[in-house]
Amino acid sequence: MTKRHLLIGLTFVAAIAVVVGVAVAIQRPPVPPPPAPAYARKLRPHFDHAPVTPAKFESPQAVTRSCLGCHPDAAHVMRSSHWQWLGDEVAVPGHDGKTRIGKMNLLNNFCLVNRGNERSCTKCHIGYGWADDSFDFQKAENVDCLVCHERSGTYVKGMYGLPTKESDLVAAARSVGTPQRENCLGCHAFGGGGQGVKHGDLDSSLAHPFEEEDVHMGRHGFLCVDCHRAPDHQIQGKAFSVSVEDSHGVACADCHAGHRHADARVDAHVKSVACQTCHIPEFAGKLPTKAWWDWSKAGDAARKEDPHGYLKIKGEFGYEQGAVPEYRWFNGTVGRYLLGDKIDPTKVTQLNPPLGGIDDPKAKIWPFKIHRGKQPYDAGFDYLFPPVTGGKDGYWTTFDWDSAFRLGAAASKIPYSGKYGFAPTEMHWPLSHMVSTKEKALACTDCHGERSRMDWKALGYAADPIKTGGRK
Amino acid sequence: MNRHIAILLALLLAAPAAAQQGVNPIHPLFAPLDAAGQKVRTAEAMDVAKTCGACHDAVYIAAHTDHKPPRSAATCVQCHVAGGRLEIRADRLDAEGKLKRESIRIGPPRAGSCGACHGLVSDGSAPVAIPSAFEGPPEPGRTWSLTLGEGAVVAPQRMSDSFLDLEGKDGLAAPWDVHAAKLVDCVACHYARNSPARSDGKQSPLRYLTADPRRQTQAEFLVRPDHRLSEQDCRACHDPMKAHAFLPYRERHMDVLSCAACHAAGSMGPAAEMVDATVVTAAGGPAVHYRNVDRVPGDTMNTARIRALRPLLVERVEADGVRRVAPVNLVTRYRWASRLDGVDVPFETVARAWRDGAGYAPEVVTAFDADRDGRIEGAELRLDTTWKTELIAGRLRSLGVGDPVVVGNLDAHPLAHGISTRDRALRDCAACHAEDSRLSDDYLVASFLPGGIAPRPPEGARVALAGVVAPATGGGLVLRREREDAPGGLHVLGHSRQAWTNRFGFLAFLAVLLGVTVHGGLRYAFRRRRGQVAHAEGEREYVFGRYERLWHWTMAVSGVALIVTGLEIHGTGNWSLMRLPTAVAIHNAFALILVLNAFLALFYHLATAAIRNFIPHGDGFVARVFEHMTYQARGIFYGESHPRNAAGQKLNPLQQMTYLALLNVLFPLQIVTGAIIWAVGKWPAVASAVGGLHHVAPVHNLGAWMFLTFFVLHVYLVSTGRTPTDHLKSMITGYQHVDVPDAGPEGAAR
Repeated sequence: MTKRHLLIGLTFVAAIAVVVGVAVAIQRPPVPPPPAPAYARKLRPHFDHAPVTPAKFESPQAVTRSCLGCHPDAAHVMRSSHWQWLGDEVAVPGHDGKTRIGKMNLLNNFCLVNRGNERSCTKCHIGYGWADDSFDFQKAENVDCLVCHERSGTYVKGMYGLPTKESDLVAAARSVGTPQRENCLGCHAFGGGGQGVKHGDLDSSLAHPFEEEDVHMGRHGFLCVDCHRAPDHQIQGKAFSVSVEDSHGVACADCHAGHRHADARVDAHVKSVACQTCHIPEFAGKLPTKAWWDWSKAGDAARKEDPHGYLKIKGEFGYEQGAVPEYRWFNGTVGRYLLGDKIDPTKVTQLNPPLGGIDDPKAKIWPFKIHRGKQPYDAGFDYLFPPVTGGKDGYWTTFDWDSAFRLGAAASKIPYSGKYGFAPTEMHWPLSHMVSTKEKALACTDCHGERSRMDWKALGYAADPIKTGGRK
Repeated sequence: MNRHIAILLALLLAAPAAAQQGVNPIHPLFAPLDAAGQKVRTAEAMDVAKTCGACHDAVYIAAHTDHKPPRSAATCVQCHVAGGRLEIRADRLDAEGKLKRESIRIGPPRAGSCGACHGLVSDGSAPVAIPSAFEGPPEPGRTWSLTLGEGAVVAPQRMSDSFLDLEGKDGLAAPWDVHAAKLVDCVACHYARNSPARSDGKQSPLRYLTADPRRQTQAEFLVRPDHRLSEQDCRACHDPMKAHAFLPYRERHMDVLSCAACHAAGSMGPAAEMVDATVVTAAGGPAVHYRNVDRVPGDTMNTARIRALRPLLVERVEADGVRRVAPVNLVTRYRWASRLDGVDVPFETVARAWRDGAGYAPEVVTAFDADRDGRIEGAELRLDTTWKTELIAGRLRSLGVGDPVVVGNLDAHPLAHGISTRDRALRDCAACHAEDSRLSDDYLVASFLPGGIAPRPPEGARVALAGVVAPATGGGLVLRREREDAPGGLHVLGHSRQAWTNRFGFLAFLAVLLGVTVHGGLRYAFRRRRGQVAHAEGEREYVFGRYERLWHWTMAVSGVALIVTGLEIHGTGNWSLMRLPTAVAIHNAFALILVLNAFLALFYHLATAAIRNFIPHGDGFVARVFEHMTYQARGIFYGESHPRNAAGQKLNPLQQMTYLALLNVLFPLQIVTGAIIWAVGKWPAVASAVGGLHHVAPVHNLGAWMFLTFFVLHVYLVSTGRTPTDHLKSMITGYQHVDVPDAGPEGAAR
């Protein structure tokens, strides 16, 4: 056979193959998408620090000096809000000019304020020994590397951020590596003085969650730092309790960009409903979170104490578990109550109201944990007040609000009129963790129809939008 | 313990039933009236027809409703008021005796209102559970027919979130009822026929009108709503042609199948096989035997394992008047009746015949308690012998029932509710298109017959049960269907067989296979005895042009591919070389190639006059036929040369006859029947015009056997050249040895 014959033969076979291939391809049922890839970043095995760790550290600062010996760049962390407890300069909605805000200078309706209460508050500062204004924020050896990087589980921070006596500095230093979920949860699950107090969607159950509780960590084994990446120690993510906008934040779409739902009707929700709204059907599923804190009831020695109901030093509490979120429009910015802002004590003061409404195209309906409370205010000047509670002469020792106010006035440099009272406030905590499996996501009837969990009128709709149509 | 759970569940279920319908802001305030038209202050004294009839035309509505006595005793209040009852108390009435606004919780019926009588219905506020009343004494009007009849549970909830023990529960993330889950309620399909809000309210006989603007106004409708409720089928809202791209023969499937045939193929609610009201359970209700519940005595319905319901596929007249194959559940219902007046014995009377105070009468326990454990449960609770039947009949007689007899009915419940999501639909082709198709397998009608009485089939039903209802082994009844009994007389690809064509074709194939084996064996034996081997020597002649060879091998490849894929289609699932849709696709593709090739070859043969080779030469044709037959029967064994062909012809007369038949009969037949079968997907009318696929397909099948037979013969005859491979080589190279100097060229059989 000549080459030409071979060529003709091959062409002929190819032609038949093409025709058959086309015929089969046309009738082939759609191929289901491949199973979800393992999203979690593959981490390099971390360098074993045990061989290079000294046999003894005379102080925690010595550990940091030792770290900086090899990682001088790590001092970047001193630019972060984890260190400074202040963010970059921002324009706070409702206020003139630009200012830096953060845990350093903001009030909340939990333990109220950091200034004057450093003894306990700075347990969660990534530093050693912040007791008062004299703390040196420029001194790199004051940075606590271990709290984020140690994996021994033996390291515990105590008063003023110093490690407890029981902490084994050598063991902790030998174990360092990429931050684990436990490192982050050590502070972020226990803010406000206990397990799950502040965030409804962060508690220590997330150290080893089931996939129904958190599909990212439970099914895919995510670490916090898989989403909250930290180039140069500038950790991504914004908490709206201490920030007013979401630059440098983390969003679902960072990974799930362009995701389409199988049902076009569901997909149409995306422009008005945040992912979190459907995919976090409830929060605080495993452990309860604090929903109510009334400081005005504090100091009653006769009342029976119960960590989830009443403490003499803190007042009355309410907790909720397996809670249904509350839904608000939210465009990624919040207002912020700043120290000295006037309030109307007869009305509920919003400390960080989510901004945006039905007419704001950037706003979506978001799920929130709303923490309600009554907290101290100056009844003469009508502003919320930062009393000193901890420490030697604080309220928790004296049970005298007047003296606590005077100490607070000095610590926070704010005038005190001599009259005090308690005013109702609310804080909004948008939910982004505890994303459940898709089988647990909200379905139509959860929001539409007679058993709706949405208050459509309050959200600005004429009625259930399944009947009246969505916003234009 | 189980009872406590059941009570708890019943309470949980009762709670959502009390969930309040919204206050109707525009319904006028009204005063409850009694039968005499006087204002009343209690619900008991209120007369519904009088109260509602003050504004609504109660007479018209009573005359235009499906919920008529005696079948139904539903009142306006039961369906239109939250919770099914008006709470009338002094504090809810104003000074004029009118109900205050907050009590006006009136509106279109909710799922819960319908579910109060028709079956298990939940708004999703509590996990779906089966209340104890489900198996309790019958309540007037409460049929549970959606659930007992169809296995449907009308709930928006995910099945995995229910209380029930469902088979494969972890994977059941789909809702019980996708319509309920997407807020399509009962009245979305079952609405008042003359509602101006519904597009089919136009009722215009004029085809060119798409809408009739002269409908009654909303106000007129509210006065005189026609409560003969509409029965919409899926096609009223869904266009199936837009959603089944994956399906071969899409149009055909949609023409002959009800949507439910695939989409109601696995309901997870408990569906009854028999409701036996001739006996009384310990719970005080009739004994219910389920099709899809595995229950041991002691299990409540909430702890018993529930499997997916496998319905019976039958021919049914659908809501649009078209006959389609649809799934039904057969339920036999037995009860006592009095032969004197033909009236059913009330169940309370039957209960009194069985019971003596709180428990069974001692006499009954003695008769029925086979295992002597003091309880009558499971299979003990059956009228399975004459003397047991007589015992109960006697006790009924002593209660004043005249001549009591057992009567039974056979009801076919079409499956239309409780449709889950599309991924729960039947997508397994082999469920129908296989030897053991669910279209015609045996279906258990009843596992036993109470009192030995066969149930009466329904009269004037829209459902046709093809097949024979025959006694089952071990008692009871079974519906036996032959393959030809596929509902609707359908020819089901891969399942239906015309036995004789298939058998005849196969026998012809076997006969030829046997013939060539014997013939070849003899040739081999004779050649060994002769001890001489033919040599591929001598002159070679160019007999097959390039196009002829291309044409031949194209035909060969297509033919083999068609036979292989055809056999695959023919024996769906049994050959398992490839999946059915793939086989069909390849078959269609090669059929196209073969037809194009045949036309090009025809053109070639006509244009080059090569067609003459195929046309028998008149002179001495008959003599040559005998000559060739004698050669094949005798000469070939002795190594004789092929007889001569007519001058200038490549084909011998036997080949000419074969090819004339093949090209003029078999080819057109296969092409036409194949085209008709293929066109059923697009133009089903063509197949119907010639009597449907069940006539066309067997012809195509027979033709295929004939082709296969020819193929065997053809391949065998290739070996009859000067050497066994000589003809094969010639069709590849074009050159063939000349057999004997004086013999004409003998072309390989083509």
